[in-house]
Amino acid sequence: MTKCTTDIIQRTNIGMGEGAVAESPSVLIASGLGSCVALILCDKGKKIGGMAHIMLPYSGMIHSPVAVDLYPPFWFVDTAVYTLLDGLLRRGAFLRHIEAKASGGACMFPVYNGESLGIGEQNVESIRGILTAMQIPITGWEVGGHHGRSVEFYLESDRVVIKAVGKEDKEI
Amino acid sequence: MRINVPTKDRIADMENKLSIASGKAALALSQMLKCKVNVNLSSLHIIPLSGITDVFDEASTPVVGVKMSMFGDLNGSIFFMLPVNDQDSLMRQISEAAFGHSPGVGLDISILEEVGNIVAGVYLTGICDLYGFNIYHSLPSVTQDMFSSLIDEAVAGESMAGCHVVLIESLFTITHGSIKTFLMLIPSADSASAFLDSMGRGGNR
Repeated sequence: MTKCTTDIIQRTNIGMGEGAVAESPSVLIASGLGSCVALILCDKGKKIGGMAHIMLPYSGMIHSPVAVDLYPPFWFVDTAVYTLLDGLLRRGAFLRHIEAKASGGACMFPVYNGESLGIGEQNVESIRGILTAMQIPITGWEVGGHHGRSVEFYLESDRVVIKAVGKEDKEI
Repeated sequence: MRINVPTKDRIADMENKLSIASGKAALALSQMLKCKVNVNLSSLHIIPLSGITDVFDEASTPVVGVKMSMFGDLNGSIFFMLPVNDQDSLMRQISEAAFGHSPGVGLDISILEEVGNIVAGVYLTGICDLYGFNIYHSLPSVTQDMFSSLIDEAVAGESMAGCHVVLIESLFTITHGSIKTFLMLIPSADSASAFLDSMGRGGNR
C-alpha cells in the first residue's frame, strides 16, 4: 500500500515502499530497516516533513518506462524523492528551506562476490546523488554498516532517533 | 505468464509429503548431536511477498536468521529464522543434551548454522523429489537483528515480480517444550513462475 497522506497523524508507521507527509507534532516511524533507507525531508520553519521507506536505488531497474507507473513511487530512490518533495510543497513547505536526513542502507549478510555494491550501498549512493543534484542540504546521515535500524522522526523538534539492537540510540 | 498458485488441497498434499522431510531432519540432527531431536512440520503456507513482514508481530522483532542462497533450477534466497528468546532456549537445550553444558559463544553459531543447513537441505530435497527440480543451496551465514532488516534486501530484489514465498513452520522438541522455527524460500523473479506453476500442478515438470 502506498500512502502520501495530508492528514495530521500522531504516530505513523511507514512500511516498506511506503511514504507519508505530516506536520508537527506527528511522529513518523520506519521499523526494521536493513538495506532499505529511511529518507526524511523537512521544512523546519514550517514543521512540515515527510518520510519514505525506500527499497531500491533506481526506477530504471524496470526496463519498460510504461511499467514504472505501475509501481508505488516510494519503492525507488528517484521517484520517492520527487514524490516526497511534491507532498511537502503541496502542504506549504518552501523548497529553499527543505533539508534532508537519511538512515539505513546496511549490508546485513556478507557479500562474497565483492564486485558490485550491495542494494543498501546502491540506495545510499543514489540518495546522495539525487539530493546533491537537487541542492537539498543533507543535515543528518547515518547509513551503511551491518546492522538493522528503526528510525523515528519527531516533527516538533526535527529530531531523528535511530534505534538498533544492542546499541545506544543515536540522534541525527 | 499467468502464475498458477497452488490450491489449498495442493498445499495440504505438499505439507503431508514434506512431513517426511522433517523426519529426516530430526534423524540427521539426532545423529549429529547424539541426542534425541524431534522436528515436526506444523504448517506450510504460500504467501505473497508483501505479506512476509507479518510472519512476526513487529518488523523490529529481534530474530536470529540463517541465510542461504539457492541455485540450480530455482534461484533465490532461503532464510531459517526464530525469535532470539527461542533461539537461546533451543541452543541451551541442544547444547546441554549433546555436550552436557551451556553453549559458548561460537558454538551456538556453529550449531545454528548446522541446524539451518540441515533443515533447509532436507526440505529442499523433499521439494526436489516432489516436483522434479534440481536445487542446491550455498553455505549458511548467521546474523542476529531485527526481522525485517534481515529479509528486506531479498524482498526488495524480488518485489518487482510480485513473487510468492514458501513459508514452512516447524516445531523442534528436544528436552522440554516445543520451539517454532520458520523456513522461508524466496524464489527469484526469473524462476518464481515455473516453481509455483509446478507446485500448482502437483509436481513433475
